Amino acid sequence: MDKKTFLHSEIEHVLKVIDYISPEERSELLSRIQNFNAEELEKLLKTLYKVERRYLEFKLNDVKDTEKFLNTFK
Amino acid sequence: MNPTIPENDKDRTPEKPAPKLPGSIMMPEEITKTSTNTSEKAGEVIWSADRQGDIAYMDEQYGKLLKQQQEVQKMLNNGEVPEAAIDHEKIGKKLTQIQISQAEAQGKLAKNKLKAEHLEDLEAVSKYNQKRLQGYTDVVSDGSKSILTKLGEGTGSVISTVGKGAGEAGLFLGKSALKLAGKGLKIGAKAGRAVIGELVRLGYDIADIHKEYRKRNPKQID
Repeated sequence: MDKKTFLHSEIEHVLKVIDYISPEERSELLSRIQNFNAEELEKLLKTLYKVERRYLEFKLNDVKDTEKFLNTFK
Repeated sequence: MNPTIPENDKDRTPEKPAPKLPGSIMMPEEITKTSTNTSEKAGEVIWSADRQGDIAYMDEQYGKLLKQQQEVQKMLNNGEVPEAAIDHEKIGKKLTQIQISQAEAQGKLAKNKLKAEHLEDLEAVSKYNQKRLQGYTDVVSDGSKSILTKLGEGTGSVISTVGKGAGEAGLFLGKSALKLAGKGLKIGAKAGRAVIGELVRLGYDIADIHKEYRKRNPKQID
């Protein structure tokens, strides 16, 4: 797999995880990066990884916090 | 550039090494096997003590994802290209499944408390939900800004559409308020409105809530 193909594919996967971005928005974002070079795509991917981590971390913590919260009623 | 992993993420790192790339986060059969400690019957969520297992499992999966992110970045920094993209979606879906179950279980709790006439507990649930919503809105807002900054100029229209995510999150609580407005119900106290909104969201009949709330707070409802 060449680098640009990999980066496009990886970016698309990450955008799907960040599900506050709708499929339509995702398509638009992907169309906007079609002409990005490998360096730009790599920078974007690294940013997306951070965004993904924060998003998933939020979800995980939300589950844990809510669990604790519910236990206060028991 | 080395990937920056938040300090608290290190605690999540699983003991087992992450699978070598290319590799998926988890296979579909794994999802089936591990899900789910909460189950639904006729719309009712069964709250299980084994739920901690779900959470521990998610911690482990999240740790694997971090490892794979690091691996990809390391390879790219070394001028190498992984053979395949990581499948990030499965972990995201599993987290969402757990969250939805939690929200429903919360609803069940609120109903029980209503029967027990503990309205103050419902207020606590409502306040907690608002706190969650604020946290979610912050994550969406910061994430959207980060992504769009990297996309550079000429992304104004995307900013407006991506930003919608945060607004839509508001519907989580806001829909109930709209329902109330549609019924012409006027409530004086903000807290009261939040509680009633929560009850509507849980599917209570507005007439019953109105009657109950009037009984409890005669000066707050016209």
